[in-house]
Amino acid sequence: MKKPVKKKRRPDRLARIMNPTVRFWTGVSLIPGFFLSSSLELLLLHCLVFAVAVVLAGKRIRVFYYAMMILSITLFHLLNPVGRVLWELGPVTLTAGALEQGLMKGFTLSGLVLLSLFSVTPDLRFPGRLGGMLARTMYYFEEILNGRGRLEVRNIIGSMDSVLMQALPPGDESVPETESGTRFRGTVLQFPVIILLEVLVWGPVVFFFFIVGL
Amino acid sequence: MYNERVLNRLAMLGALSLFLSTVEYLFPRPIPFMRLGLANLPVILYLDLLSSDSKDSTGTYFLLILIKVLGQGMVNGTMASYVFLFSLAGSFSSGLAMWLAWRYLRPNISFLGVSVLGALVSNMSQILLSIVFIFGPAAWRILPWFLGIGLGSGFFIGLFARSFAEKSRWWKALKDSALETA
Repeated sequence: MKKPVKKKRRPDRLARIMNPTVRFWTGVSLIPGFFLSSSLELLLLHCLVFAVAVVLAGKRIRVFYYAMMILSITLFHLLNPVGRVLWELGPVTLTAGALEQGLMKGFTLSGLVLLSLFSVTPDLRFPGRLGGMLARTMYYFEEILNGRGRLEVRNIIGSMDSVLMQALPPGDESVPETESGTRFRGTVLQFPVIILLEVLVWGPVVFFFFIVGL
Repeated sequence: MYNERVLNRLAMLGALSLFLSTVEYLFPRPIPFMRLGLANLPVILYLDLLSSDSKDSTGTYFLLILIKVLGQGMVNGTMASYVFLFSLAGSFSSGLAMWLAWRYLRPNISFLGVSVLGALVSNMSQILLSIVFIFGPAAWRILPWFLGIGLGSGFFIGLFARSFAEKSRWWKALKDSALETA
């Protein structure tokens, strides 16, 4: 029995308006603002903004993955008591400092993954020979993906073999033509998106850090 | 620099690695940082080309690892996050350990042996990173669990690599093509 390996992809709505390189550098420009989040509430707001951007990018947010990550990081931090004792039961002590540190770190790491999911796409092209190699690898990857429907779980090696023989014939010496740079420059609509993201991330940071003085 | 055909072969193996990585992404993970390591299959198989008379060299072996890490970062979208750092450290440390073992312990070590060694070294390096960046000193407590998982996943990937190398017509043809161009 044949089983499809991958579900149908959701459309990347941002890819229709944003250039992949611009999108990548937008993501990079948001990292310092994210790191300057001084409170848990601000971190949560930033994570929410990034999560919306990820959904618009057509990528799935695996809630269980993030929940487990935040939970495990917080639990490990709770093993080293810091600050005011909130609750105590035998050898287990729940402290406010450790809880806050754990949650802050958990949300910081989750936010970074979300930000990365928004800003990095397979269409991103890097310059130079390594960039060319990566573009060639992506081309072959797409070729394999086209045949993934023929994979059979019960005969994984045999079915994988036939997909590979068709997608990447070993004797074929022709080097695929791949673009070293992307041609799509993005539309004017990418600018409001960039401005909105910058304002939502940097705005509260500037407000709390410089105006309120927190 | 490197032969164009060797680079093409690297791109093919890199693409296979990315494909296996996406296949692995579909399996649920009980722990966020736990991975089976299916994407390492092409890296393990490539060791076999180094010991043959092909033009593939140690440099191209590490280039394959770099392509695998960068490609995974792009496809999974994790390139701008700490996950990429973990992947980079785990892949290069395990790649180095597997290369050393293959080079100096061959023929007393098989795909199974290098795979288990690679998985253990990869998990060890990731634990060290998680102590520094994520969990703090308390992460030492999960070391036995991580090494146990590494042992199991390394064993599984090693068995799969051995079986794939024996049965795959594609791999045999790729090897033959590598030897012809030497």
